[in-house]
Amino acid sequence: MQLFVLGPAFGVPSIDAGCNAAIALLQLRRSGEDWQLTPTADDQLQLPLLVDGDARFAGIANICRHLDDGSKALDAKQRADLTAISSFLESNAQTLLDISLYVSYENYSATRSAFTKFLPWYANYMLPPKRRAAARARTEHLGISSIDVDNVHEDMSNRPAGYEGMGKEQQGFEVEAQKRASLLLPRKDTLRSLLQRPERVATFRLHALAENFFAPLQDMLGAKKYLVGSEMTNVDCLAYGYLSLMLYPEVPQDWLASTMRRKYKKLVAYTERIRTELRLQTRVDDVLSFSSCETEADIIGRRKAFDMVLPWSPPAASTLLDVARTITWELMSHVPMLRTSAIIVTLKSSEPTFWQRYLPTLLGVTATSVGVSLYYAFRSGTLIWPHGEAVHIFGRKRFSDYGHLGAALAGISMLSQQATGDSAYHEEVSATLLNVDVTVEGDTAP
Amino acid sequence: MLNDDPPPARNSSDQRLDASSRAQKPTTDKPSRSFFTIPPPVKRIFDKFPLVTYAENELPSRAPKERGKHVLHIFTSEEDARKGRPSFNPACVKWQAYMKFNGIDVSVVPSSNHASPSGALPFLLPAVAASAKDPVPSNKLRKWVLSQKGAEKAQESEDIRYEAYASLLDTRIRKAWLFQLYLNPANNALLQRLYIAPCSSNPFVRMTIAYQLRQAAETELVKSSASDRLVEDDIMRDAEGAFEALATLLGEDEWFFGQEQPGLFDASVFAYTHLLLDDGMPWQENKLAEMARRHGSLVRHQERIAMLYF
Repeated sequence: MQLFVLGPAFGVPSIDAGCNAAIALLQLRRSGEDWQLTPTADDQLQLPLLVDGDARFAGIANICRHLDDGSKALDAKQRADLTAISSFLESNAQTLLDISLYVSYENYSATRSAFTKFLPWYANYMLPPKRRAAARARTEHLGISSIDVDNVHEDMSNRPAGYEGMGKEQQGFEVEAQKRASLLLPRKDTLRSLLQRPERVATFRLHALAENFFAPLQDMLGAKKYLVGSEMTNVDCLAYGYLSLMLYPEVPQDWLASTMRRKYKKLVAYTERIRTELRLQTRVDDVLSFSSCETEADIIGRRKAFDMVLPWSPPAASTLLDVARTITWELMSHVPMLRTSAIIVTLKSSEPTFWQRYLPTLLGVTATSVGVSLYYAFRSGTLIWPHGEAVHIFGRKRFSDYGHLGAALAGISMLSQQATGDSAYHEEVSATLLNVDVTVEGDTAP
Repeated sequence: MLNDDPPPARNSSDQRLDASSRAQKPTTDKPSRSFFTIPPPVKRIFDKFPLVTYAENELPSRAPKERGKHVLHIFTSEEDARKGRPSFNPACVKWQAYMKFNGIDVSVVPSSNHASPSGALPFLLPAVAASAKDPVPSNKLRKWVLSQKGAEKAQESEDIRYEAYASLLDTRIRKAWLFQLYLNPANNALLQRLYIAPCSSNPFVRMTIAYQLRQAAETELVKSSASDRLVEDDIMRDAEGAFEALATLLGEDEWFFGQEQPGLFDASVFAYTHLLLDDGMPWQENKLAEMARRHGSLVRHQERIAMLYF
């Protein structure tokens, strides 16, 4: 059995919450058995990915289902709680992690350097920005983009006028007037104005978000040892996956961890307890040193030497072809027309209708046949390419239009131009004029 | 404006004097010929205007007639709105039901997202007589309902698991709903009928709207699943688990969390179960209903609300 995960960071087995939960789950259900833990950077796999013989299980929910989920010991009510709490964790905790690790610019720099440690060089340019973009998309509706207040490069510059969001600024005339007035009267900060600053408003909203997650979770944990029942269950592993990534990373703005440590001590104790029971402590450098291992014996020896509990193995080797494929795929996803939309895997492959199936072919055939027939028509002379006079000057009257006097004038102008044809402008015009004048004379001669 | 402009010939001290004197007795200002008074012939002409004053136009026939009532704007058809039947959009049904639970009398109007100040339906226009006249967007509706005087206030459950079970509806069942309605090609005809046909009769506009709707649903699903592979099997299995958990939570009780009165949670559950189980929606493929039907308590819950309140 082999489990593919994103690499370790912050002293936690994986930087991804789902992978973390999967590791905890395998440690709970298959502790001491023969399974391998392989860090990988391939984003095309649906991580965490469990390969058991020929079967592949992608995603934490499928892995839970595949492993014995231990729910037989639980009654129906507890099973329902288990489902509800998992869903609660997945929806709320992910938002908090997104904000804490990716959206906040300062923290993202810490996350990014954690990624750099285990990713191969090319993936560094692809994976972290991609995850950040996804995190921002997920948290956009919360309007906390101005948590990046210190980040001049990203957010403030291209913010549209009248931007409605966090730390909404008063626009327009009043602000201007206030600014000028404040030059005359140095303004003292009132409590209200202090609280209305964008970064404070962001802080309030973040705390509200954190409370909305931690408070119900702590209530559900109560005085019990685990979330559901008296034994450790899948949902505890899932909770660990998220809580550990909130608690352990050392990031510049650690509002999430500090809120947890200050107000939700029970949850901190709970996270610590699962970590010790499943022995999930991870030293990142030890895991990374496996990449130099060659033989099986070497790997086992190294595990012993580092006193490792988790069955880490060397990172999945990627061939040059894989690298090329990944890079091409990534580049393609940034080209507007080539970007592929989401892949939808349905149960029964629905039969595409006649038009859906043949429309591209029909369009192609029509376009080609029209092109070929046009070419042939011109080539064979059936159609003639519309060409007008070789030189055609619009809006100019010919001298011949003025009758005899015009003809006389044409003669004079020709003479005078020949005499004074030295300026650049006249030279230019005369070239065309001469051409036309010849025809003028021809017209008037008969 | 004319009065404030001083005649150009005077000096500044005169001006000030003049201004103050005029301020004291503006009406007794000399009627005699100043440069700025309107000449009588011109004045006579202008006094004739307006020549004709037309009678006021009637209000358009679509204009709201009873503004003494609160108006809830939702996705629905004209006919359903007249009969007070539930909408075909889960968010709208939820609030419709919640208003009925609380005994608030609202009239229902078919509307579209473009009409809403927040860009999403439902929203509520309070009656003219009400103190607050601003439209209430859907995220403030609950507060508004609780602030109403005549409302029989249904207490919301204090159960510690409330949030967890609410997340089942907001994520798992909603995702499955989005998938089934928008991304399942079998239900294309239904999608056309509900959301696309009322917007336009032009086939190109319809195609564009259909494309946009599908894209929006897809983005929503991709965003929450954090990968760009949407596996129908997984989404449906999650929903199945969610229905099972909800049925277990309800048990043999009448309302969720053993309440005396139905509350917001009941409204949220009803919003989905009603639209899935009711015959009014011509689903072509409705896996979610099969899942819900397996749990008799959920079906009974839906029937109870439909019977008592709609």
